[in-house]
Amino acid sequence: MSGFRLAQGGIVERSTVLGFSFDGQKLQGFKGDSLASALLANGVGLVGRSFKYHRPRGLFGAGAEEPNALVTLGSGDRTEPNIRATTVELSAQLQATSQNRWPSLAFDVMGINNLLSGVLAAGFYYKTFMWPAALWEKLYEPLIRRAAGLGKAANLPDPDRYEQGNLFCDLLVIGSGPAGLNAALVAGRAGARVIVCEDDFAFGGRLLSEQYEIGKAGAGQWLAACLAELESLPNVRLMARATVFGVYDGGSYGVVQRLVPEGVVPEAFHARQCLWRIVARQSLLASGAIERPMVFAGNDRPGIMLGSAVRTYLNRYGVAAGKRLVVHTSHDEGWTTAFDAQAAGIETCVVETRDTVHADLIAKAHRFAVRVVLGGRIIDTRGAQGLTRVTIATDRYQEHIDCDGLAVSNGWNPTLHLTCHHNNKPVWDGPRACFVPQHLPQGMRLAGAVTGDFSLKDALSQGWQQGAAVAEDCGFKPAAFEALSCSDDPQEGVSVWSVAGKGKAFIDLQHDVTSDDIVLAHREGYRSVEHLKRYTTLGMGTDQGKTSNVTGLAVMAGLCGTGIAEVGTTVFRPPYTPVAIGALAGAHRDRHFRPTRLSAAHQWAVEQGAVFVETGLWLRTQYVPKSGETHWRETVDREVLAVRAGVGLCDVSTLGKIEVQGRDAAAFLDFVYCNLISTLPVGRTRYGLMLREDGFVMDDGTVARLGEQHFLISTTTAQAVAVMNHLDFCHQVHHPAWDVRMVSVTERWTQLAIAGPQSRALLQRALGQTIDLSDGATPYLACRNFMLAEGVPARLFRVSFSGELAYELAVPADYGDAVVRHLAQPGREFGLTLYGTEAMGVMRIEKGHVAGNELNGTTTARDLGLEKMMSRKKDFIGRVMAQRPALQADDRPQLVGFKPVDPAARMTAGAHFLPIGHPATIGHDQGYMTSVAYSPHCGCLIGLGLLQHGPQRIGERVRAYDALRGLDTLVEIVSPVFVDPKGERLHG
Amino acid sequence: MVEPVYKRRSVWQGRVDAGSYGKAVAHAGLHVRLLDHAFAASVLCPAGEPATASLGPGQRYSREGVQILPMAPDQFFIESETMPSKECLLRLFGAQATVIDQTGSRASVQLSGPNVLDVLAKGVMIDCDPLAFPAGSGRVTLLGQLSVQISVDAEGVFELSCMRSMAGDMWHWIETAAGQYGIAVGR
Repeated sequence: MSGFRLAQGGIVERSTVLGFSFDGQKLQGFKGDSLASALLANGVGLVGRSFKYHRPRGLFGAGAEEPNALVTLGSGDRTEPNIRATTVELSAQLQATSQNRWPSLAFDVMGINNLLSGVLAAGFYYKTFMWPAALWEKLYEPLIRRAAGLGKAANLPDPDRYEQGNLFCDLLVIGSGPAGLNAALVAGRAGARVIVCEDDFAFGGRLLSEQYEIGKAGAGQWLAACLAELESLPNVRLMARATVFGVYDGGSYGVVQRLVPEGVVPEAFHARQCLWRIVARQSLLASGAIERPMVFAGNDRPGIMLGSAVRTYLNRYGVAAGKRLVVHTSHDEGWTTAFDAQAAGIETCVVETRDTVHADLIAKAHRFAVRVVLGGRIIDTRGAQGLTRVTIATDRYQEHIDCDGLAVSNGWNPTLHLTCHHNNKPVWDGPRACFVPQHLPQGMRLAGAVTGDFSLKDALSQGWQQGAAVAEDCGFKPAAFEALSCSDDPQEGVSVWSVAGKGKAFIDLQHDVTSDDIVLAHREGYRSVEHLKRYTTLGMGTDQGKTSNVTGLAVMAGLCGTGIAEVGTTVFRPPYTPVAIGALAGAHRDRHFRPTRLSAAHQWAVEQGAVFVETGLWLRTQYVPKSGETHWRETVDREVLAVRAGVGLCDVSTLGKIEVQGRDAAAFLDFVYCNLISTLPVGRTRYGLMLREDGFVMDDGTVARLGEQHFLISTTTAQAVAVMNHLDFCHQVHHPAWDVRMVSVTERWTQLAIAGPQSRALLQRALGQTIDLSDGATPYLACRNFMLAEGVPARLFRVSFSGELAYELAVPADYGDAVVRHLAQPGREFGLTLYGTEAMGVMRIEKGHVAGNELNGTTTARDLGLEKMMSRKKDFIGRVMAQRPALQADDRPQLVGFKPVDPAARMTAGAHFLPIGHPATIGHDQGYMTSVAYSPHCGCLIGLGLLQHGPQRIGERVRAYDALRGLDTLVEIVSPVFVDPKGERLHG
Repeated sequence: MVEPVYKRRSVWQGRVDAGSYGKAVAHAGLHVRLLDHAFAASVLCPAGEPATASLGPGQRYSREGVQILPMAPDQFFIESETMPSKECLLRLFGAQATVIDQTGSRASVQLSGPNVLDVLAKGVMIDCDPLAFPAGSGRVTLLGQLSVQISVDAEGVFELSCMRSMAGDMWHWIETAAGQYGIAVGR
């Protein structure tokens, strides 16, 4: 191909010259060019290599349908592979690189695949790599992985920002051709909220590509006036570079908008792309149609392109697709290409497959001096890296014609992809020879070429009528229909799917699927369209077969001796065109991948040098290293010993806190907890265990009774939301008539655990006379509402997770920071130590308290040694199902403690218990270790675990076998309570 | 003057200061006022409470200086600049209502300015256009991944609030969504 810029014509801004590069070569184009048109204008015909055979390829289309011209834009961390050159708006300094070739586009070593095409036919994966099986991992898979894929990702963090947003409208117009714009105009004028999404960087659709007339002037004037009016309407939003890629439920549409042209670095504070969710009361699909090619030998050479694309380059960009053009057509449309080209000074010849055409076409061809061959077909092409010659054949003769451009026209396929997204299959319309939508997603209408009516007149009138209908449905009064005079499109033609000839004839240009592949699939029984697609990979490239699917189906229909209607079609899924993963992620990346919750005392912990850990969405203090400490274990040991010997402080604000009030609150809590709550006196706290409906443990926590009808329950941090949902469900479904009122107050209170033998002294010093902390006034498990100095409300709970004398002080979050700082002042005198989740974990294991590792959804109260908590005096959630024989079986693993026989030995959570002297098989598995920590108190690792007949086997030894880490440790079964088994420390 | 022992710390303190953020522009596209309501509470009423019959969903009501947002059937979130009296709460919600103090539990901002709708569109899941969400409207919805309450104080003036612990994420959203328009933060 030797395309060139015409001296005039097109709608590019010739006064604005833009420099860009392709494979390092410096080139120039104009503002308004696409990358493809600019390449063509510079005579660049070879733009890529095909996926499988690495055949040289050129531009085939001029829009989203392009199968060949996939390029990589940018470099470094802004590298974007697999971008269609046809949809890229040319910008200054745009850097494009060809892909799928080595070492260069002109000389590609992998082009050897073309010589091996006999081996690489459809299904070769399935046949070739069957044996010897041993080579699969060593040779075949690495080879296939190396060969697979198109383009190379940057492998660097994306420096740009992506946004997501939501828009709402009465009418979403998809496509800004004549149908879409006319619909937007009538609905917008009537007052409806209208959004127009255009995939291209310019509005107008085919109006930009054709020499249409509307009214008594060129279509360009109508387009300009229409856009000016739409832009002036405050209720209309025009969105260019916005691709509607998916149709979802409830009138939702997925749209990705390129906020800056590809290859342009966004300004500071601006995003590169935005992923919109547009919710529309109704939508109008005015997506037009894609011209379809013919299949003939050598139909993939650079220089061969769709006739509609040739006209786009000519009329929109002022670029000729070649110096000598042949038009191979079975349709009147192809003649328009010839006339447009010839008028632009390009020598053109029409090779028409039909023997006769309308006399007007012949007359016009004579006027334009276009050579015409009727009843002709192209049976061969020549040219190594660009077309140089075609061979035509008629019934009477064969002839070689030298040319560097070949335009192919074979009718149109409606761009109906979005109509399929709710699994609606299109149907074959025989008279119009194309698939048309049968059923539509709710709220969607059609106008223009997507309906199968391809004329400009139909597009304008359907657009108006559908736009008016939507406006009426939304309560507006649209103006009456105004017919516009316009040029008529040529309409007649036949479908010629395949032309016999020698050599490869390609159907899917991107995936190198040939007509021979379809024949092979048919011969091997893959005749269903779904099998055909998967066996040959027809239509499975990044273009989703926009120019190949229907042709492939037609060829299969021919082989089967049936019609296309009988063969049927596959459906299209979102996305319509590829969507960058960055747009799907939006702002949810890195630290903001998900929200982070911080307690009101977080800043103070930061100042203390705390190291944090994610617990659910919360960041919690994990441990707080002091200078000189070189290992986290050193820090944690110190924190544990400090709490056990003196006093420590831990922020427990993250635990879920739910207020439960109402006349039936006590009965309700009896129902949701397995132990009895209604007997809890006011001013006291009780440990509560909650089961699921299936009898397994759901969560645990404390229940404080603050008044006769007023309870405050706590949940684990991770389960807070699940427990709130569960309680709501139990209330609304099981006992809707009960007077129970619940609300989460987790955010309201900052809660601090103060633990250790000095905790009372410290708190009493800090809180002064505001509360009496003596055993008599505030005994173990007491709870109190009281006021701090200056009237700050507070709550105190004498509960302990560490096993030490301990309190939990709750204050309003607004005062959380002040209170923790206030406690820290006398804390210096008492050696107050801030401790984190690691030390807390060590201390709870030392006390045999269960936590998330044990409350893992597979354990029952009995498994955890908490069977006595299951009340026999009442009904409760999970009671009946917990009685199932399997949950009562004697051999269910039960909670016990473990110590390594050799105190220096390592043991790990997750290790499985095996009897000594038996092989490590599932048949000998007796349970597993749930939690392990180093206990400074015991001077060795200690663990909790679930072991068959565990409580009866204390003193025995078993193996803790961890195949993952290669550990096999002899451990002793011990009581799960390692520290203070009598609980004396709790009382100070 | 004696310094108080327990100094109240607003959720925004130390997190966002008054000033300009984002792109340097002559006239900021988004104006942010950091709010610090003196009182907030959840109000839970028995089903069918007559006093709340007029407090249907979708609106934020202003009654006797109390802002009331329905959260669920018979559940309301209220905010005010002074602690409402018992009598006031009795009139608004009836004698059977349970009022649970939630002061300080939420992080709130007031958003306005010429680009406020553009900014809200980049996160809020509902239609904030005045036609669909006029002054006086209120909803519980999502802002990205955050659960938020949003209401319209006047046309073009929105109040947005999320859980206190997620204030950092809400501010991050404001900075990123509105950075291109320029942000003016005040109290």
